[in-house]
Amino acid sequence: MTFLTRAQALPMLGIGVSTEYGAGASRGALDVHALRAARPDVAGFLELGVEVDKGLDDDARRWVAAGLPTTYHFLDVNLDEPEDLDDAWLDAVRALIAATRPAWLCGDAGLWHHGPRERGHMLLLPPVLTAEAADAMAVGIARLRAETGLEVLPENPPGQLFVGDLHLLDFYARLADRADTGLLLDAAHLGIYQQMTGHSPLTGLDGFPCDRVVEIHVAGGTPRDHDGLAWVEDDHTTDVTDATWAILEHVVPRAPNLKAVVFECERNPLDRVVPAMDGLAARLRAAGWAGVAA
Amino acid sequence: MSHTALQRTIVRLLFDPAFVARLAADPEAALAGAGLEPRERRWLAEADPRAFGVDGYRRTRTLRALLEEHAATAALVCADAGAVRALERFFSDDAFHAAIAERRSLAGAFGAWLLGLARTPEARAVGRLEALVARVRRGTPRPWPEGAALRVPPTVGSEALPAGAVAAWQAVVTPLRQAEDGPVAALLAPSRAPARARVDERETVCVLAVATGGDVALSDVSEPLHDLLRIVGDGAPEADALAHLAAEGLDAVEAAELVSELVGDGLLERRP
Repeated sequence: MTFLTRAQALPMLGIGVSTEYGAGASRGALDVHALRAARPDVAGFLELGVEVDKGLDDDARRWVAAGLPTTYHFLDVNLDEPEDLDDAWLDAVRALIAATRPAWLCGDAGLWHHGPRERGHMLLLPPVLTAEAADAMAVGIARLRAETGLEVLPENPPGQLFVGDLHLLDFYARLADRADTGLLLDAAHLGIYQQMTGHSPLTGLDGFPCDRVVEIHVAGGTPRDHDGLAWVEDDHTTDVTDATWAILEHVVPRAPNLKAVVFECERNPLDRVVPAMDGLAARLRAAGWAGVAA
Repeated sequence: MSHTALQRTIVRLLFDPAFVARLAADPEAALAGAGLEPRERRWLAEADPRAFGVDGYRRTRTLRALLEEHAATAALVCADAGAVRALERFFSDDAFHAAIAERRSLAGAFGAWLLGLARTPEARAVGRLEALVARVRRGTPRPWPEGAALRVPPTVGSEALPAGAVAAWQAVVTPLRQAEDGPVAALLAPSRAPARARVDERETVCVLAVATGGDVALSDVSEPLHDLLRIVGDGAPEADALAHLAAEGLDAVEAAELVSELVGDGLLERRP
């Protein structure tokens, strides 16, 4: 069965938010339970950012215990390294899946850590944008899907440096085709890539398989300068860039299998998050997406 | 695979501004030996060098993580906070670059590099002990060598150290761990008291380290058992272990029973 057929069985999750271990405990952070209580229409599910070594924090456990929908966002696997999908990690992932019952797995398909998976090795880099790298990553995605029984949606990571001969969207198009998988398009990360490589926000989307997009991420970023090099920090503020909005509004009407949109805002207080999410919902409504409440 | 070599070279560049400068000055020379194709070398040569330095805290953050496990050695090697901060030069050392290129543990590479800076018997002994603890804590599984029937589990290790090494380590690390903001902050404090410890190099003790769930227990172990663990190491035929025990005076039955006992205690494991 091809992905586009399998996609029909994926649940519509609507708009949600994300978290990772300890995020809710930091000062001024989003209380996901308060958001759910106040505005269930924009907190339809929680994306759990997971490192298996850390597991789930109290906020995640409470959400899961309430039987609310989740997705599982890995933060600790290099999909193009076969040795990274070791038995111990896979066992831990399967145990977490059993505990959280996510709709699917997803996560940045890049370099999460150098060397073996251990303390102090974490980083997040985009993949080398070549056909060879995409093909190696496709093998890892297909294996993880087989090992877990869940769809695995690769996400385009952020970055300030991109090397390779493929446009980022062509890389993920090839990856999706080779792995026969769906995609998580991070609109903010794509906006950063387009800026860093001198492209307009929508460059490359004409050849991109929007019908494979199951999930979209939206987040704010902060413009920075390093020795005259302009870059955008992907710091998940509520200040969404124009490029991110443009990408979202272009892709949504072309994504018939879009099931979930995450507003990544885990370190912002509720009173800043709600207006921003209202803005997101309005744009999704205007784009005609069925996952947003009328 | 070439894209893997390229990705690892990028990681090295992200940590090492001296490498970035060499790349800018002479790309072919800088990238010699990196295992890259001509087009990959060209991509790096054409990259904006400023992009490698966007995260100004990458080295500091990683050094702090490394120091967590090597705090006592750093305290003995570095006279003051400035010297601790100067350990960032590790990221420009061949030891760092080799670890990244070969996909090895950075903690292991850092521990060995730091040990190379040790100038006193105490620093050397504590450095070896912290390196042992870091290694068994990871318990990185290794493939069985061909022909091996026994091995020391990766969560077990032993070292022959100067007498007093464990006490010296505890004397240094305990006050660091008791510091309000943790051992690394204590190392970087401007008024840190000099670390004091004593070992006796005229006498050797064998120390056994066993990791369980992230904790590492240390205990003394007899020299013959230490020798047996060293001989078995990452994997050896059972006959090698039995021959060693025979040389130690055990008969065949006693030797076999001891091996079975050590397997039962988790100090050795049999090939499945």
